[in-house]
Amino acid sequence: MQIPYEVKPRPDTGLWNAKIGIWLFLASEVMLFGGLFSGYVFLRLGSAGEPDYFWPHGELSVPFGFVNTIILILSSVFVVVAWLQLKLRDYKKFQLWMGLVVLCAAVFLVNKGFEYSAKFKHYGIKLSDNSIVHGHGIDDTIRYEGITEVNIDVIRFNGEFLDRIVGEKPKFRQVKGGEPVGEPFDLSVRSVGKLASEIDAARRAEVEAAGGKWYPAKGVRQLSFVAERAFSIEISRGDLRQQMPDAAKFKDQSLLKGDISAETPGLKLAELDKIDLRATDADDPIDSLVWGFLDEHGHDGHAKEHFVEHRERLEQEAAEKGHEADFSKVFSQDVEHSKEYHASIVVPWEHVRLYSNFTPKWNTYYAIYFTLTGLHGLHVLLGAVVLFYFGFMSKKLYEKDPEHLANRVEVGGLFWHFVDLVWIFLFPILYLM
Amino acid sequence: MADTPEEIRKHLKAYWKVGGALLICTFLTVVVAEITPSITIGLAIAAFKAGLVAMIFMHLNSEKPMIYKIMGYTFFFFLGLMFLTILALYDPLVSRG
Repeated sequence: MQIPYEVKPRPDTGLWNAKIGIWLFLASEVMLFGGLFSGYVFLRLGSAGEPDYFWPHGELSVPFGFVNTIILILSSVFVVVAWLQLKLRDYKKFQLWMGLVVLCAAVFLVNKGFEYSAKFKHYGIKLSDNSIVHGHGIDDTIRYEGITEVNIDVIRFNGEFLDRIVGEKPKFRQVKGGEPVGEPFDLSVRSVGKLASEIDAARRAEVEAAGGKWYPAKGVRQLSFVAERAFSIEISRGDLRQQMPDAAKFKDQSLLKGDISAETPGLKLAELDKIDLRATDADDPIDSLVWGFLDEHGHDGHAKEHFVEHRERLEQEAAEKGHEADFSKVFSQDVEHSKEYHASIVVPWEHVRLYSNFTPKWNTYYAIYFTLTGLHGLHVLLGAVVLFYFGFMSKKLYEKDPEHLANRVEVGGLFWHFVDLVWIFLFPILYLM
Repeated sequence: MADTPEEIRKHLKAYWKVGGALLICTFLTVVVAEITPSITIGLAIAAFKAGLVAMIFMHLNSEKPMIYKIMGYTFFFFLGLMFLTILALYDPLVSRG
């Protein structure tokens, strides 16, 4: 049976099915992106009231964003040209333009991939006094030495700390009432489970002998062990649940008592590219913790002195002109690298408040950036797949009813223009403003 | 929409011109952002570009009344969403440091 109004328009509305369908779909898309855009505005307005958070400007690559905008605009022109070629019944040219559209989509996504990947390798550290540094080459390895005492949550224990032991694994003995008991044995998920079952069985027998009722909830939850010899562990700080000066807590709640090694005194950032002191708690940014942890290499190596000089110069200029000095650029300064000079930093663990690559964890700007561009990128991918199908896998339909294919391409093209339209707003609000 | 080959070719030229205008506006957006941090100007250029895409490429300049009805309602609710953000300015929970 032929579906009515697939090609020819309905006489009352003047529209064929897919045309009204795509516009209804686009209406829902407007509301979807509208919600996210208003979310962006909420976050941005909210940040304006926060004394220790500044909405990031200029952290995305404008050339990349610009090129991607050009690519999407060109692809929008190409898709409408392809549709017109189909109307002119020139299938070869139609395919050529559709091919270019798909190529544009691929280049757009590859560019986006490069941009995302750069953000995943770019790190920020927020210090305990709210000073912020950005840079590349993070090393968050943390080593604990002299560990002998281990406390395990029987239910959650997954044996992860055993894999982090440097060198040979020692044997352990259970600690009961503060004293080691039993024979030394190899600690593992299986051996801990077996030990816990034995303890539970003994307790159960005790409870039942006294006429009580046994519930699994009465079973052993925590077990303590002591190692036969002191050992060290090495782990990425991000894989720990909690890091303390004299103990490390794993995500499975295993607690190991030991001291942080002098070899891993803090979080290292090999190549610093920004120091942001706008939110620092220090009364004077010159007293920020950053300066004390900075390690400068090269012929210059006087970042702190430059900071002071720059500030004094601005103060002097402002005094001469009779207005207030604008320190925002001094407080948030880029660290220029050269062959002769580069700065790195080692922030002692107790002064690390937050560290992350530039992902939603770092701040709300990246949260909304990845949400908006990620969703938009999925639209690009989906649109490209649909247009590829129309362009290169619809020859039969063209031979049967070219106008039907033209209608399909028009609908796909409308979706593609909408994707372009969304990017037209995303580019300025995320890259430029 | 265009049906005769002559009309279609005329449209083809118009699309290339609009594409050119969009490229120029994109360049302008970047230049303006370098000169002034004004959000209003940036958004105004973006709105103009979006208007061109919607009107010319998406044919909203000569659509059927049913489409205008659908998109009219959508635009109304979209404006509602944007209006909600103004309420953020009166949010008592925002700390003013």
